[in-house]
Amino acid sequence: MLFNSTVFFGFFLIVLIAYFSFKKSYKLQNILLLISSYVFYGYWDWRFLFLIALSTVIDFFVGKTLHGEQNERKRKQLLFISVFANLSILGFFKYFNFFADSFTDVLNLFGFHGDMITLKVILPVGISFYTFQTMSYTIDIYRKKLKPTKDFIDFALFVSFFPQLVAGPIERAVNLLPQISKARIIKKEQIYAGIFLILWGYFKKVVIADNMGLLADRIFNNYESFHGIDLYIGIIAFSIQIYGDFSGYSDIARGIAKLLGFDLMVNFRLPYFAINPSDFWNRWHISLSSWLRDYLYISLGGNRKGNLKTYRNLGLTMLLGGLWHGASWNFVLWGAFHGIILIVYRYIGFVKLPDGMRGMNIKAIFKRWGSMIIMLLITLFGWLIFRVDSMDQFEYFLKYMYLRPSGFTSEFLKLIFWFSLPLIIMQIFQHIKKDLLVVLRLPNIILIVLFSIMLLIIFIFGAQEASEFIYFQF
Amino acid sequence: MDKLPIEILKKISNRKIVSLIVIPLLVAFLVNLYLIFYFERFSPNPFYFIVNKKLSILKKIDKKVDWLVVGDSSGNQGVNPAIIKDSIGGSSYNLCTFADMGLMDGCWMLDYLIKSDLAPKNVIMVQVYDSWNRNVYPALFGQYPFSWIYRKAVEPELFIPEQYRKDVFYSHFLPIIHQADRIPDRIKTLRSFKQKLAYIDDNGYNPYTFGVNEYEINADFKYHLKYTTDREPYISPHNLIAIKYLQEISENTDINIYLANSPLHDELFADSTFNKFYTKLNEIISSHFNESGRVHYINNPPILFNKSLLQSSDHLTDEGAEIFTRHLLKEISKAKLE
Repeated sequence: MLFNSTVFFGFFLIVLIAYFSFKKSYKLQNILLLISSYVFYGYWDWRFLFLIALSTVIDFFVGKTLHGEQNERKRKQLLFISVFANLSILGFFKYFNFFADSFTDVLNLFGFHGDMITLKVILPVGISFYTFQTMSYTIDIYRKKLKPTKDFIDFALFVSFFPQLVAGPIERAVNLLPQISKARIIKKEQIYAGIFLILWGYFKKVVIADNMGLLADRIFNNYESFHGIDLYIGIIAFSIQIYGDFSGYSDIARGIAKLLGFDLMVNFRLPYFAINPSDFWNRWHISLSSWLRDYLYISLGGNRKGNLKTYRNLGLTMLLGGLWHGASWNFVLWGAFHGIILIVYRYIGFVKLPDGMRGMNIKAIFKRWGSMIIMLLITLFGWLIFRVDSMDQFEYFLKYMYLRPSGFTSEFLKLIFWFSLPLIIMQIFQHIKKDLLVVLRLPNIILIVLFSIMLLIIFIFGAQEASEFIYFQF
Repeated sequence: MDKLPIEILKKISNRKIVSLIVIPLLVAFLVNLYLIFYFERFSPNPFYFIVNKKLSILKKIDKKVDWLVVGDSSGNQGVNPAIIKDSIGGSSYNLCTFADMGLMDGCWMLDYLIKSDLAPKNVIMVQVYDSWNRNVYPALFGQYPFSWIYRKAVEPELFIPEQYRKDVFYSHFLPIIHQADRIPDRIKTLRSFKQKLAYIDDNGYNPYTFGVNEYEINADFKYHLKYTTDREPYISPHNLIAIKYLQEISENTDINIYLANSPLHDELFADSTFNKFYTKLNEIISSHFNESGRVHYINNPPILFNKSLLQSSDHLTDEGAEIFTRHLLKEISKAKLE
């Protein structure tokens, strides 16, 4: 069930009405949300409900047992069960064919004729998200940062909560479980923010991302027909598409959750304003980057064991972060690219904001914006690696990306300009005021006009058929 | 690092929340309401526009028609009712739409008139060769009256899958979703739209008077050559249903039905691959009407036109339409004699 589909509107309306009619009992609300979440997921393919249920059952009982276990060896074994089970599910459904094909390619490279079995495995939607979410529960219990919940319904809801089930944010139990386990008091401010997030999320997705996606696809899918500036435009269009699509989804998810009285973590904090790669990963897909930092990077030793090991840990974390995105070598390379950039920046010492960039003097502002632009260019190059389908396509881009316009350039630039303009204006204000909800400071009458215009634009310029969110494939 | 932006919640009153939800929705509702009425006359979708225009002409018919012309776009701009009237007299209307409706909407329009006690005396049905293998295009359902689609008010009945019934609903009642994507294009092309499409005669004729575009003709030529290569002709299930209906009409009423091939580009017809496909298709079509006394298959082989009288392989200019209309009348006279 896609957020941008009429089925979802009907579904959510029914859930919302039922939810508020059960307002006297948060336990009944939880049961309702759990059933709704399973219906939401099952609408796509009911067969994979079994996987969520399996992951839920395993981690609930592992968590419960882990908390009561004092023997360190047994604690590790229990943790291993949880991590192994979740990674096995993820590994099989997501990576089996990838590794089989890659192994075959390696064998062929050495002259052996391998013929690995390739299974027609369907990738369950959201598997990368909910497996990571549920693993964070058992890991936090192991680390004694969290006590397990005794209520299976609460835990099951934590794993399957429909607003964030299929494309995040990847929630932490320390944040979401306490909200599930008590009565929600829905404040007006939450509803206010929720309405804006939902509207802005849809705007980013169906108006900006989907239209930029058409342009990006046109260039990338027919790349040999384009050259020069058009190739740059393709990359820019994709960078706007992936941001609009993913942050749009996160906003809708968070907005819906707010209407239900839940606060999900912020997943994007103006990533294209980052001044260095560390800053970028504090702003882009924060729920994943923080998960990788807390459960992988720190577990590997973080930056506590000297420079070389820090670089190793950074590289490995980003490599696996790239692999998380999909069973394809370009995602791995993209992860590796960002790992290298992180290492380079760390090596040159540009991790924190230098003194010379602080303050409001011209030089500091100039340096900050200069750093932002450099980081943006690095990010755009990374998106090229992320988006290409083949090495040939990548080489073509590198070879023909010179600064010469074509007959299409003007038309493409107009499209980019008009569709990215609302996003740029909004983000500049959010950046200046350091407030992601800055628009809510506007007088009510202006907000009403703005919301009305946004809604009409969503209808008029939005994609007619519900198109999937990019991160569903992850 | 530069300070990260956060979410600062703002205080708000209940009244303001309600106004922020209700007013934008109300605005969208009112815009949608306006579009329901506006798009019925001036849909930004050229297909929808033509269908709406032809249906509005159909609904205005209050007397029995002598010559009802139905079919696809080749007939829409290929048959001039005024020439029929001048040549042989009687009333005549051109309600041709698109090949994507196959024979179906022609049958529906005919049935509508029969059921309204306004059965025409003669029906000319103009179909391009590649409309025969097409089932009805569901996106166009929404332009036909609700009663035709949902309450089966006209025959032949057509099973419409549930997913397309939704489209019918949206098209009628939610044009802000269903058709609004065309508004930006319409704004860009408003002038040319008004020149080209908005001009449909009161008798339904949609003349093409904008000059010959060789590029368009050549591109269409290539398309049809490719279409008929490695492909076998057949009649789609929807068109078979329509044929059955026409056979029943011919048996049970005294309406004369003239099923006419569309005009064709001479160079296209001269191509051996195309010609083979076309001939085989005509044999299949003829076989359905051999024993239908009142259904006459005319313009077979088709009258051919050179580029100077064409907009595309089967669409004529206004000058070409005059020739084609007169040709059809000759064919009809010949058929009557037989």
